[in-house]
This record gives sequence, structure tokens and C-alpha cells, in this order.
Amino acid sequence: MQIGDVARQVGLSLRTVRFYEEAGLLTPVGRTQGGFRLYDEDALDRLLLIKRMKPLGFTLEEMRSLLAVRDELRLPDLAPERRHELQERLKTWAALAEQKLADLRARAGIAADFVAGLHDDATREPADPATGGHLTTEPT
Amino acid sequence: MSNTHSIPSAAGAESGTYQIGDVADKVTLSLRTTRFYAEAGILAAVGEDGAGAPLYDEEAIDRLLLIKKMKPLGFALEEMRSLIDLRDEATSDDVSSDRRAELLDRLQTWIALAEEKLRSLEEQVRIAESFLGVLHDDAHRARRAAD
Repeated sequence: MQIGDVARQVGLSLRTVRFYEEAGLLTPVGRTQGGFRLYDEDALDRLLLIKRMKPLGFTLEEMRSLLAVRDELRLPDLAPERRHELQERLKTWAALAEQKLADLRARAGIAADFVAGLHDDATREPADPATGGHLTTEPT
Repeated sequence: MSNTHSIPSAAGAESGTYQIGDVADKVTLSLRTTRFYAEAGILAAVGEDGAGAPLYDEEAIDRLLLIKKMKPLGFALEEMRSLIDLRDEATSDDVSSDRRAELLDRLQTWIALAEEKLRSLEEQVRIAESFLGVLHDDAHRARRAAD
């Protein structure tokens, strides 16, 4: 398929897909007779991975590095030691992703608390001057 | 949360006041961080102990608990100060009803902002879960290929 089809299928803009291609994260598998680059399913798979890594704050270099590990792992006739080494690197990636997920979950919990606290502030009755009440929340 | 101070204003100034170390303990922040917020003008001392050390009240604890939520959400010190000022004024006894309505309106803007932040974090959680899923699939495939 051509680059426009790739972009449509993964839901990215043509411009973004071109950017990743120029950054070397995507390689065409051939060309049409008219000279347009052609891509296969692997390009979709890569872009879907990139699409997940981007909002998690991973850099282009990190994306490239993970894609390289996955590419090499798919090679036939990989030496067992090398395969083992790559599997270990994949484990490190999974640990990093777990950590990122735990951190995001914690922050989402804090954000939910923050939202709830603001709602409390907004719905609280005006302070009654007779009791000298104020709107602070009690920590207990 | 209900206001548990039904203490008349005539209550002794010493009741319910804390030294900075106690404040830090109560909100589980480091002394250094607590001092930083005190120096940034976010915490106002309500008095001094006999030795001249500043004393803080529940208000300081309440502010720090708010800051503790805002910090990991990426809010800047100025933004924290702005929300704290807003809450202070909204809770002050001598605010005209017009001004109070204006402040509540600004609070609604804060709520909208916080809800947007929450939705964005929830979305990132989903993305991180799916990223992790891909990595686990890769690991599984690599194990099978090794067999």
C-alpha cells in the first residue's frame, strides 16, 4: 500500500507518517511503477507501536531502539545467546512500561482527588460570619 | 468536608498551632519542601512560639494538601498560588455576593481544567496498558520462537 493508505489505516496524518519515515522508523518494501513507495503490514505494526509510545513521552531514539529489538528478534537463525540478550532487553522495556503505567495510574488518582476537592469547594455554602467558619478541608 | 472548628474566635491562639516540622509530618512532606513553600509565601505563619519560631494552623496543612495534589499534575507555583488566593477570597467573610459569584465562576474554570487533566491522564493510562500488552505479546512470541 502507499503512504496515504498507511496513514489512513493507523489514523495518523500523512505529514506525521512522512516524518517517521524520514526519521528512519519506517522502510518501504518497494515502489510502484510510477516510483511511489510501497509499504506492507509491518509498517502498520510499527506505526501502531509508535502511536502508543508518543503520548507516553518516549523519544524518537527510544522508539527506534525498541523497533530494532523487535526487528532483530524476528530474524530467522538468530544465535541463542543473541536471542536471549534481546529477550532481556524486551523485559527491561516491559518493566519500564509497567513503571510508567503505575506512575500514570497514581497521577490519575491524584487528579481525581483534586477534581473532587474543587467540586467540594465550589458547592460549599458561603461561610457564616456568625461561626467564623471557613472553607478549609480537614485533613482527618 | 465539614468544618470541625466550632471554636469561637476567643479561643487561645496557642490551640491548633504547629511548628513547621509538625506541619511537614502531618502532610508527609519533607521539612525542606515545606520550608520551600513557606518561603514562597504560600504558607503564612499565624504566630511565633516563645523562641521566635513561626507557628502555623490547620489552614497551612490544608494548603499543603492541595499543593501535594497539584504538584504531580504539573501545575506551576504561580498556578498553585492563584488557586489558593481564589479559595481564600471565596471563603472570606466579607466578600460581596457579586464578587463571590465571580470567584465561583473562576473556580468552575479550574474544575474544567482539572477534569481535562484527569481525562488526559486516564487516556494515557489506557495507552500505557496497550503498550504493555504489545510488549508482552512480543515477549511471548520471542519465547515461542526460541523453542
